[in-house]
Amino acid sequence: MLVMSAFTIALSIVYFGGAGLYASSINAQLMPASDSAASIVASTIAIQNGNSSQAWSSWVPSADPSAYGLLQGTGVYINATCFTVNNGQVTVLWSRATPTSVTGAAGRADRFIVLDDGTAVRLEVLVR
Amino acid sequence: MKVRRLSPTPTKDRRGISMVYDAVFACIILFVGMALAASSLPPAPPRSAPDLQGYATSLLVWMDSKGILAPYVYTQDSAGLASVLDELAPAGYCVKVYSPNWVLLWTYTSPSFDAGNAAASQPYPLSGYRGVPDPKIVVLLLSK
Repeated sequence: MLVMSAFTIALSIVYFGGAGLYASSINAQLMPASDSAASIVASTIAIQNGNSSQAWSSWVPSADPSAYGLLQGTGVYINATCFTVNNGQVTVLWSRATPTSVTGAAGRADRFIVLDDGTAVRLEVLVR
Repeated sequence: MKVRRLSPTPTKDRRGISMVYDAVFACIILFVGMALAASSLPPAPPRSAPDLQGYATSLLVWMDSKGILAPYVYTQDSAGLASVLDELAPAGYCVKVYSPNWVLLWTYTSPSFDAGNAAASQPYPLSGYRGVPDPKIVVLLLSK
């Protein structure tokens, strides 16, 4: 009984350890593809809004992957923050994000866009 | 006819020992198999960060246009620079300030900076501070 229990425990450790190793390996292999997908989303948003402060102020981030040419079921998280400088201090003008974040390892792309009124937008995109 | 009955104890012991050997042998096979599988996995490709180079360069240009780069660089106010970059940089960062001859004058690295997954800005020149000519070159490294 003791031998079988020890063997079952060892088998469980090996099984779950192997599954975790395989999953992390696959995730690592797919990470550049996720980074590229996030870069596509960030570039799409940057091209749509350009450096127009008006376009950015009326922009609403969308987590719908089909809006960026990605497959349905792809998790997209967008977070944009607009900064300005007052008296040498960086202040946040506005910040917008999609409602739900992306959990786990995700591809990431960042953009820093200087707008026509002197403010700047930090755009962060996560894709999983 | 006289039937000879064997004592159950030695057979039971032998069977128990045999099971221990079997279990140990099976565990060894499992661990060796797992080690072989792990060694055969291809290494993860490095994550490219071409967007961070543009990000870092745009950030330096914007900070200089807003007049918040030169004061921190020329006074070597790493705390003030960190307070700004903590808000503006996507993750970890490292600031390096060089003389025109590319001698490193000072550097500041954030705790979350990952040098193995970073991209550097274009070298950004500063001509001086408060009307005093004192050229320096600033390089900003960002990591994901």
